[in-house]
Amino acid sequence: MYNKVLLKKYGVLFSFILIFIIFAFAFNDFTRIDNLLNILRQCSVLTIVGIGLVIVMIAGEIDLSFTSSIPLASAIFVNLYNNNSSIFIAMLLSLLVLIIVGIINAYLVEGIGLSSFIATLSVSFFLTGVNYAVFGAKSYWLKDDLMQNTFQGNFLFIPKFGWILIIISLLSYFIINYTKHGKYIRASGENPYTTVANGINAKYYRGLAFIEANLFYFVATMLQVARLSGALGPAAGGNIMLPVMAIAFLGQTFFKIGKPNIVGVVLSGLFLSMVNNALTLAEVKFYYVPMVQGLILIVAIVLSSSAGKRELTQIKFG
Amino acid sequence: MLKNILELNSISKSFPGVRALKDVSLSIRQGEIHALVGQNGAGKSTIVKIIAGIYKPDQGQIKFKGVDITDKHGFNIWESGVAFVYQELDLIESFTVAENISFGSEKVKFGVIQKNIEQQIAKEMLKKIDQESIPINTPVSDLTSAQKQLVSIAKAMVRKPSLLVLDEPTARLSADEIKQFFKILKSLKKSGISILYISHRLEEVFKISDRVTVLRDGEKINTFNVKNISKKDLIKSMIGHEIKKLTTTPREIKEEVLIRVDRLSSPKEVKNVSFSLRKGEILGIVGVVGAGKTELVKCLLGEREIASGKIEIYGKKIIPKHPSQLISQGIGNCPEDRKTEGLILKANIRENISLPNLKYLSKFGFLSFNKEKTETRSIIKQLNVQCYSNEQIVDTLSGGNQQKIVLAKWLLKPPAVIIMDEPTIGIDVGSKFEIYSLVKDLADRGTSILYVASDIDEILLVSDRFVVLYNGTSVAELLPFNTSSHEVLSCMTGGN
Repeated sequence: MYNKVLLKKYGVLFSFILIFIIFAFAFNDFTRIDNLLNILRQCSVLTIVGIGLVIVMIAGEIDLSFTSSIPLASAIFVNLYNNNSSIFIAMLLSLLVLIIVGIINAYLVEGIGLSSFIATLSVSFFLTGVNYAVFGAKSYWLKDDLMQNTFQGNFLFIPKFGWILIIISLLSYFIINYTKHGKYIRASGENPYTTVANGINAKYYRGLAFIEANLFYFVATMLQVARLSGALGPAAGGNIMLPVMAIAFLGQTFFKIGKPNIVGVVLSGLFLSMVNNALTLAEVKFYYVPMVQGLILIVAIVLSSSAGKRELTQIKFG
Repeated sequence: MLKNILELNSISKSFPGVRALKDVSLSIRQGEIHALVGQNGAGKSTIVKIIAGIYKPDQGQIKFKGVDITDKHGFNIWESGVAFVYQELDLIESFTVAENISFGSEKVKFGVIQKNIEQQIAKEMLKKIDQESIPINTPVSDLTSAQKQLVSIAKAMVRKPSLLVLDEPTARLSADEIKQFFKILKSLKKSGISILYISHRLEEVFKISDRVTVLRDGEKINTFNVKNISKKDLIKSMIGHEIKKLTTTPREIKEEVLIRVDRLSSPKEVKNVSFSLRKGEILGIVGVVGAGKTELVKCLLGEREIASGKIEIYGKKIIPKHPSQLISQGIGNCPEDRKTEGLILKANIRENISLPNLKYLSKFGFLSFNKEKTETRSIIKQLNVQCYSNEQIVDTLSGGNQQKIVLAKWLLKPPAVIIMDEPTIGIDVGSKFEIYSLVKDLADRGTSILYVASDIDEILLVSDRFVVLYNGTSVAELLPFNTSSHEVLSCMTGGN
């Protein structure tokens, strides 16, 4: 009985470790320290977006607007910077745009009472249009290497991208689990009725979650710009949507079954990155990569939910 | 002269199609326990929600300690010193006891919750109500219903309320726990706290309260001093007439056995339970909360593993795997928790009732809407369900009316057997009696009923024969006509 509970709670973690060990034996280069650091570096942007999304999910909602708000914020930053704005003004304005998007989401969902799935999807469409209208279907490249020099490379043997991910993960974990603010967000997501009955404005905290998520999207935007040395145009958002959703939902199968949580999404980000890395090492044809990703995700979830017998891992959507 | 702490003046409130309250006035004095009674749909819960600021009254005024609070929001009312313990347990399941007790009044430093103070408050509050044995770092989801109820009270105490509003606080407590609970209420009263006590259980009203206000159909009938009114008169003013007596003469039961359970055990709660259910019989299963009644039902339905023993249905041995397996054999069930298992809350009355009867209501695989409508309409009329149409969403019905819908599902085309788990939990006297006579009617028409309950009087009144469960084991099989409630109680609590 006890083993079952244990397996259910840590099932995905076990399969994570299992797959790690398999990869370690299969590919000599896999466990080399620079390769492991590479895995950490590669997953940082997606995972930080994932953390933002998971905070919204903890509040009991969903946010799809990042698929368009991040490309838009990237384009704004790159264009301002290239047109001789100071880097801080450029950062500030792209942050401002993201926060406004967060406020709009919060208003549509908590103020008017729309479904968060529909509302943020609509916002996402709208922002894609804005991006095309203002910046066209073009990619923009940074005029110099300031961003790359600031964010790329190592600090104390670990990639700066890795450090930022680690700091953001710890910080968000702390806020969600140890502050009053985080507790109220968790409560608003788990049981809004009870939360209101206890004299707490659940709508307010759910709304704040939408806005907070955009702070994480902002960090991810800056890292993405530094990594690509530019902004890839409005269509680029589609590339991050599926992986981010995948890690956010896979994260629900770690530790707290069926509940979005910070540790889960961070481990899922590493997990996905690890699989991608191994596939690169194996030099498989490109079309096998998404197939294998899909299969591994399914296997990981089945391993954890089959332990709970007939109870499937329930994931709340929208 | 006693001071009024809370005054409601001529409160009216309507919802689409329903008039919930009409011109209700109510005053609560300092340091009194004031009971509020009424049938389902009488407007008790609406009053609570109006005091809490969850609903706004259409008309009228609410004064607390002489201050008008009619326009205050739910989040502000706590500050004024009114605390609520709702019928639906108001705890966050995944939070620990300590986290729940301080919920809404956390002590923070730079936004960070001070865990040591949180622990201290939890200990202090549990001590106040004499419940130091409740572990404070366990998630609430692991506690028993009774413990949860007590944690809710402890939580309410944190804000040092001068008025405590309790909505059906004893619905999930056993007799012993209720005694303990009343002690706590009395000591709270002594310390000057006023209590508004909402309950269906009239014995409790007489035991604990000073005054009682009766509501009927959204109107206030009167406020009585408990010392000056008899139980009979109170019931009469609640339902508007006297209760019909139920026949309690023994009925003739055929020998044909439909379900035989032999030394059934589950891995944990159920140990060695044996009984047999005959055709047209109402077999009671009685036991205190935690005696294994619900687990026994779940074993029968195939929702719990069976460790040993056997179940025979129509003489054939079966191992239940899923409730649908039994339904297809003509064994329906009314689960204990109507909100999660008995009903689809967001669907309307018609859809809920027709759900297990779709085959019966269909022709060539297509649902006959006319038949569905007329049949469900006639059944809700027969059951006297208070609603404005059979298209009303079940969630908006009162508890007793919801329970009637749960039963109605099986009345359209009565199956051979119905397993009912606590069919009258949380509903008022009037509806209770309606449900008793409904159950008797069903049995007269040949349906066998396994009637599981923790209320002794109910079992004595309804059943033809009953089995007493104690600690998961069937300890006695008795006949209601030659057994006193004291004998049953001693069996239930482990005596002879």
